[in-house]
Amino acid sequence: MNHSNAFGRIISANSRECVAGYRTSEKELPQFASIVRIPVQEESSYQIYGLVTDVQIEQDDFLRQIAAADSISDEVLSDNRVNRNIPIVIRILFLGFQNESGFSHLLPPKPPLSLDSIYLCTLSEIAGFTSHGNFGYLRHILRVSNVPIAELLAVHLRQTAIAQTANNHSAWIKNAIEEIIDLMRDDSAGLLEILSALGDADISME
Amino acid sequence: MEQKTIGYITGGSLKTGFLVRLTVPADEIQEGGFVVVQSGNYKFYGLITDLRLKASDSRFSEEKNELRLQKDIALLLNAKTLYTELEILPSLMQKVGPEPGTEDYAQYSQSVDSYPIPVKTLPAHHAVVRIANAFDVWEIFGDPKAKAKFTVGLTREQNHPIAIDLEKFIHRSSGIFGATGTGKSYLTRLILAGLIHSKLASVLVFDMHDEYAFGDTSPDTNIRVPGLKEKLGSHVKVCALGRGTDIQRKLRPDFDLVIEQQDILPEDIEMLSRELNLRETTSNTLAALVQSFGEKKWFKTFMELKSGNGEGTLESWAQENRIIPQAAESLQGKLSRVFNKSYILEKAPTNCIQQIIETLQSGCSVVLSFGKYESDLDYLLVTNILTRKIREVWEKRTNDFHGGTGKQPISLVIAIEEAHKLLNREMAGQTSFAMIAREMRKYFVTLLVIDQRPSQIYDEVMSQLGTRISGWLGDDADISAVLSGLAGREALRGMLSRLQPKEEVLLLGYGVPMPLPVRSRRYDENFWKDLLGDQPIHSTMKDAKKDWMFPDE
Ligand SMILES: Nc1ncnc2c1ncn2[C@@H]1O[C@H](COP(=O)(O)OP(=O)(O)OP(=O)(O)O)[C@@H](O)[C@H]1O
Ligand SMILES: [Mg+2]
Repeated sequence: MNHSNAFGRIISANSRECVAGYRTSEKELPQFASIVRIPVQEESSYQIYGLVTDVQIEQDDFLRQIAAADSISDEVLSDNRVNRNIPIVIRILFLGFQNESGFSHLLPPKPPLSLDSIYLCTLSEIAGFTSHGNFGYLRHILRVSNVPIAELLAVHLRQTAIAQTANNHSAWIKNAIEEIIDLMRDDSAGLLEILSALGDADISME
Repeated sequence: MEQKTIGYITGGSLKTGFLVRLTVPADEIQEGGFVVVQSGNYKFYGLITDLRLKASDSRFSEEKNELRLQKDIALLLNAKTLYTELEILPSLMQKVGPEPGTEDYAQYSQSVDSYPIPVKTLPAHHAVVRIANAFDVWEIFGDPKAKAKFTVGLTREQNHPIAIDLEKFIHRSSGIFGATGTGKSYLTRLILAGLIHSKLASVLVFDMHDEYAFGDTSPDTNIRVPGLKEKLGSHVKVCALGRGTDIQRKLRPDFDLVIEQQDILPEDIEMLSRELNLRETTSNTLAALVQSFGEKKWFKTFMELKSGNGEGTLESWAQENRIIPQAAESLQGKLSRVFNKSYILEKAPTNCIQQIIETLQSGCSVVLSFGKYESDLDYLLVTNILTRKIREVWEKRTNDFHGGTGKQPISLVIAIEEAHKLLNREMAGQTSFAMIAREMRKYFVTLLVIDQRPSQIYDEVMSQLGTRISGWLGDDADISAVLSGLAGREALRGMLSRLQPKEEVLLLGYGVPMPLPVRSRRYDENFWKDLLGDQPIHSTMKDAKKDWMFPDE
């Protein structure tokens, strides 16, 4: 398997989500709505799958001062962006997990431990996790609060559709949209918002 | 066996029918479709009675989402949230048997278990609904080739032949209805041909418009179709009203019908009250006439009573019998329309009515052609006298049979076009027809009522009709009349008003296991070939045929 590098470590966690810190010096940028995996240190075969629901740059007093200054030198700018220790915080929503018996779209039985590493999933990992079962993981996304769900889903579906197509499963996107329509049937306003976001994301169904 | 699945059960009740969510495009399904729901141990048979557009939320139906969403996404949304709901009128249910063709099946098909029974329970949610296939049709409507079965039409979707049970058809009075031009006369010809050919009954047709004996040229297509006499010559005798009357101006009948004056009873006249505009005093006068001159002579004597005064005049007779002379004179004047009928003679050369009755009793059918006597007066008077006589004979025969002194009389079907003329509310009490409709099945006589205005027929008679076959009807009252006394009336109403204007009928009532709209069988040469086979016409029949078709050759 084409393992990617770890890009951050867990700071805090509960059974639904976790927060991770990210060092700006690392190469791979975690994007909004990326699927990530968190191998839990203690058990070799247990890893949690999650979705990046928020990327936040923490503020501190020093930054405020710089931002308020009239002009900022390039040196100060790059020093701040590259050398600072934990300037960026990522929120990750749990979608399911994997253990020796395979994937599950239930919430992970145990949260990750602090300082566990986080990896971006490869296309085939994404395809493997999202085509397991019958889109059970979508319910976690639809339930998340304080996040623009329509945007989150649109980006997630576009990326996953690319991963699925790369794995010869181009019908996945159609099934996924149908599942969302089914799940959101009773909330017509919410559903229409999601579907128009999907349109903006230019998802191809061929 | 092909199984076209169309949807699944989502709800319903015995009272309101089953609800089905359609899984195929709505335009593949039509009202009136014959469907089967299989659920657990039972198959349910029913009719599609309504289609309804539904949305899981009105926002999905009211807004044109295909305009604001990406096209493919909108299609998915519409497919998921917009759908068609069917309403099914359940009629019958049947235990699911073993695979057809197996030994178990043979045993099962003989057992009571295999009989379809009226629906008494419901299929489960999500039970699959499909269009009936040939086997389902066969299970419910039976083998159209079986004895006493007669194919009247084809299912609209898949052209499966649908047969009626002729024995049931004649066991109670039946009716064929539909607005003008819907094909009543054509369908009647078909069914009568099947009936006569089956030899299950003799048929007496009151052929008011000369359509049945020698066929008819369709005004719509200009194609001439053969009549019953032409095709079933040896089983059908043609009788024309009046002496030496030709039918369709060139064809000689087998015999004539002349009515003797002594056959006319006061009740035959009273029945003409509306037609002749008779007064209330009429029955008094008629009673006095019978008392003075006897049942057999009153008509002739009254006709000959002179006006003026002195002995032997109408006035002196009236005074002697305490009848107001003006009333007697007025009645005599009004009856002149009857006195002048050339088919009423003092003495007929042969006893025509007897001849008709004997022909019918021998198992041969009779078409009575009215020829030029097309008025309602002729129709009412002649059909009533004839039917009265027939009824007497059949009643007596049946009583003899039950008393052990005679054979069972042959079943008789009397076919009457424009039946409302004889069976309207006003008339029903006075003619023999209403009585036949009510109780004559016990005496082996039933009616085949053909009419375009069923609402004009007395309800008590309508409710007695067993098998009903109806083409398109526009009038609400007519529709109600046809459906009176049947289960599922409300659901069937719409279906009647949405039949094709021609050659499509709804089969209803006693003679069919469940209501079903069908495309009428075509009445043409192919029909006759099917019915008679390709057998060459017997040579003596051929000669006989020449005789009646071309009398001058
Ligand atoms: N079964 C059929 N086979 C062939 N043609 C038919 C059939 N039924 C109806 N038609 C066509 O429809 C026309 C009208 O049919 P028909 O004369 O039987 O109507 P009707 O209901 O008896 O009308 P009315 O009440 O005016 O007597 C016929 O002339 C014929 O062309
Ligand atoms: Mg007609």
